Amino acid sequence: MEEINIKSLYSKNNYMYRAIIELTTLCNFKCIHCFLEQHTNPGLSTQKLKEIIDELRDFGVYELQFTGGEIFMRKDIMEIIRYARELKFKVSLLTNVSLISDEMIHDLESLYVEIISTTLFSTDNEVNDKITQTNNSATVVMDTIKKIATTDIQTEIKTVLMKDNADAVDNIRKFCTDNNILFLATEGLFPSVSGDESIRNLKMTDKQLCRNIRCLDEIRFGALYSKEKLSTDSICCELHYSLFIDSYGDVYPCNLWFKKIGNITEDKIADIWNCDFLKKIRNTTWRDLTECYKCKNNKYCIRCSGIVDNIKGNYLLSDPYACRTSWARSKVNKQST
Amino acid sequence: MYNIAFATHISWQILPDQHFGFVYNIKEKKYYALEDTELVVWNIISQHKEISLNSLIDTVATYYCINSEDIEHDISEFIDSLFEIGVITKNGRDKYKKSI
Repeated sequence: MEEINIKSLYSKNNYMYRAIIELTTLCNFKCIHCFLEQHTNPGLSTQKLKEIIDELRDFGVYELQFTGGEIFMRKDIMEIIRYARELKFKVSLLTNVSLISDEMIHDLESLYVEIISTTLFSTDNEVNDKITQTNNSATVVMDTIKKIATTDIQTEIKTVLMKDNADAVDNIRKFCTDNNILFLATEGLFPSVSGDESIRNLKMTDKQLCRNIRCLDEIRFGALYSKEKLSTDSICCELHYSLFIDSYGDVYPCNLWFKKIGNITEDKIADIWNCDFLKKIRNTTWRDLTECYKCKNNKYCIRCSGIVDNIKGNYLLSDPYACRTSWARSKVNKQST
Repeated sequence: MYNIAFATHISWQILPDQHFGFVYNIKEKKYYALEDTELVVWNIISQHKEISLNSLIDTVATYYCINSEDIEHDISEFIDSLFEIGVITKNGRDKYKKSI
């Protein structure tokens, strides 16, 4: 039997490959850069979630990514994961891992959860705690993810670099290499759900950004990011295969694009997936981005249309935050040639 | 004679048009396509916690309105290939010799 590329098969045929489901906004960490504005919603009931998972299964969805808040704040989390795995979904978990016990690790391994992804901002408690607003957070995360990494579950650490942890990459990367954990690092800070950009004040200074951007891109892409944008390139490939469902059941194009396109408890998933707004943004290409398409730095740009829509109300415009990162790449590239 | 079941370390799905499916072996990180008769067989297995090879052959034969003897060899061969790629169990054991 031949191996195949599944995601591109789904994208080409306009089928929904993945649902990112926010199970709760409750969280035991209080990260300063978190774009969620409230952490009080426990989420939909167990029964309702199972009904949603059933509907997604019938619709042909293959991957479920569970996120929060902190998903292990839910007492029924293992029941939900077990249910999804019994239906043979590919299951990924986004969690701060601080609430995962040894027994849970054993159960998660038996359930063949695909990947557990967590965040770490520094291997130094003092620095990490400043960001998570939680004591000993680095130790707890590192100890737990190390244990999980000894199982067959793939593990991943994601790091967001800000001014307070701008020098953290090397130590985290070493920790990941030593423990066979995937590592992703980025400079991306996202405005809050309501479009409040004050979170972005935590960003690295220009000097820190220029110092780090090559390393960040090498971790993520293998080299400093540079891609010529064709006029026909889609503004975002994820729009073609994924949706985000929040803890109220509201559905969005992705977890960074806060334009509600339906509610999964009221609308059929097929109707949401084929709604006019999604068709419109899927057909939007770089040629439609009047400010960005002709920008001299566009090949260094990774802009998010969802974020731009949140802050400016028009997803075709530029994002000054992304412009700055493109500028940094351009500068670093010039310095090396 | 043996009983067939899905291995626990797989994920799979059938695309909405029902003409194509795939199975993923999580242990080996490989995807495999399922089409035509393979899909019919896979669907039948999916409806049972466990199914004997004979029952599977009879059910497929009924589906196609043909004699079981005419497809016995092909179905057995297909099941063997599914076992070799590690996505099913025979009598509760997978190719990694792990008992479920």
